[in-house]
Amino acid sequence: MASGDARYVGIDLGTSTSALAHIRQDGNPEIVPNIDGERLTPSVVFFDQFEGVKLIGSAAKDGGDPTRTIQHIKKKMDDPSFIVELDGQIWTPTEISAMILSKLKNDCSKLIGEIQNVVITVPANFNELARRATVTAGKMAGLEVSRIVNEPTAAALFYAHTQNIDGRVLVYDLGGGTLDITILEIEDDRIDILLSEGARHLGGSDFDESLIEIISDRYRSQSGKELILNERQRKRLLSKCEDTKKMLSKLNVVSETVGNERDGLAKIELSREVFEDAIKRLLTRTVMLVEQALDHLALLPQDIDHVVLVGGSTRIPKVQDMLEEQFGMAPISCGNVDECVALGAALFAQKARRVSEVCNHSYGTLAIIEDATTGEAKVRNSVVIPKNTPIPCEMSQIYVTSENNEELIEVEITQGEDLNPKYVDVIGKISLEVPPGRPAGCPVTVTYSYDENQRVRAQVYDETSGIRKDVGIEYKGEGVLTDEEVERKSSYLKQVKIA
Amino acid sequence: MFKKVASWFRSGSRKASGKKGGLESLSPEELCEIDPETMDKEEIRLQLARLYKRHNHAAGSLNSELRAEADIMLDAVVHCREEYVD
Repeated sequence: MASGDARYVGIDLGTSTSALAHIRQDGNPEIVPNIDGERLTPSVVFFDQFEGVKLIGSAAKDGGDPTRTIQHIKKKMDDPSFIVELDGQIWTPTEISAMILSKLKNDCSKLIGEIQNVVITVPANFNELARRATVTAGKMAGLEVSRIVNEPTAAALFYAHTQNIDGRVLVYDLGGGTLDITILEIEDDRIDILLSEGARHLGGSDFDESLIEIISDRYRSQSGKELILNERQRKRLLSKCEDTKKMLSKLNVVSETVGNERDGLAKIELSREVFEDAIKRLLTRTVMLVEQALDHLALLPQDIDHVVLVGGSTRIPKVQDMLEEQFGMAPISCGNVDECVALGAALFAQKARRVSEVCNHSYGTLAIIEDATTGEAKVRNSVVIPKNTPIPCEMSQIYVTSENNEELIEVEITQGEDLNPKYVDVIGKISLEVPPGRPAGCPVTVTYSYDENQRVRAQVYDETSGIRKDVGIEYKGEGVLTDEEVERKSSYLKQVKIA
Repeated sequence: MFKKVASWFRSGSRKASGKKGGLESLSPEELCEIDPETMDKEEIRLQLARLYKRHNHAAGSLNSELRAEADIMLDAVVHCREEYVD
């Protein structure tokens, strides 16, 4: 039994598995096992119908009714409309994630002492809603989320801690649900993140779906019948496909027996080649993301000194082959690819000052921009802080009012780098009342700042009147719980039996 | 090409329709606006890289209709990439 409080705790709230790590007395991070003795806790929640227990982890994954089992909830953290409805109750992805965090907190505190402050990792491409939802899930679980940090940043920190290397590193983090690419420079014990790019719905669970299609097709051609008869069976098959995928990373051919109660069983042989061909398109997306990252920094593959693999899906041989072909050198595994994000998060909790991060998104506003050649005016997204600017940062742009007698200046705050407004999100708005009777062309300065905690502030300054407004920007759209809702749901969650 | 100093746009009509508008009925080449007859490999690669960047970001948008559109576009981009670049 531990005494005192655990310091420097990091949590990897993953799509497939989650883990908690802390910094030991000797300064090294270590994974804290859950009460079942597992270092990785499957991010799975089973809603028991008899005693109202919420089972988390392997017990939830291995048994029970698949229709009462929730997996991969992280993929829904950015979907404001997604809910789970069971037994007349509605659960949001935030609440389900909070249950997983509660399990980790409760179990691990028995070994390392009370856990209060934590760093939680998120994919680099998580949008504003998903980042906020992650912090809220932490709060609901009774945790103080001191920072959230991008998963590849955490992995890079762990890699730098364990390997004595300097130079430019590309971290390729292919997990259960997302791909993140981060390029960074390591010099002694200092890490400068140069760029983070991500792709959503590009990970192991998508590969599992591809396997389901192959197996279903094979079953159909052998028996002339449909393999999947209902959602319950599909979920069971999906779980089996995850195991098959792992085996195909080590074996060239795997034999599986699949079937259903109505039409019987069939033995199906699957080769690694067939699997790799089925996921080829998804892998092409990964190649394009790597190219995008290199292009953004005007780098060539040979400018990268080390390619580091993170995430369980990097065990797929084809992934490693593709990277070797792209970079002309073999990628290096980040030690234990499943644990390094949590271990790095704990290190981040301790050493955040030695890591220089970048802005995860571009922030701007909508403005009418004239083409200097044609004179054509169009509404465009005008970026004030570009993505991947080192943080903390503060940047300004000067605009002018477009109409005479404007009394209200409205600044819509955008997230996204595309010039076309259709492809950016509006995450907030500032309204500034100005005196009447002004001509068009009054200058207005818009200043955004972005701090280490990924908080955005906006200041609008009307130079003519001297009026200014300074506000913190928090996305408050659909899917964001109010403070009262968080309070109420947190209280309720405390009463829920989590095992 | 664009003026640095821009005018204000008042909010209101900004939000895109987000409707897929029959995207499924178009070929990958039409969706990606590439013509293999007149564009060389590098032009196609750059056009696809531009589209990939746009729609990869849109895939994480707060707008669900835009996310759905992005999925279709990313499939088209990858199809064209494999067909004309790789």
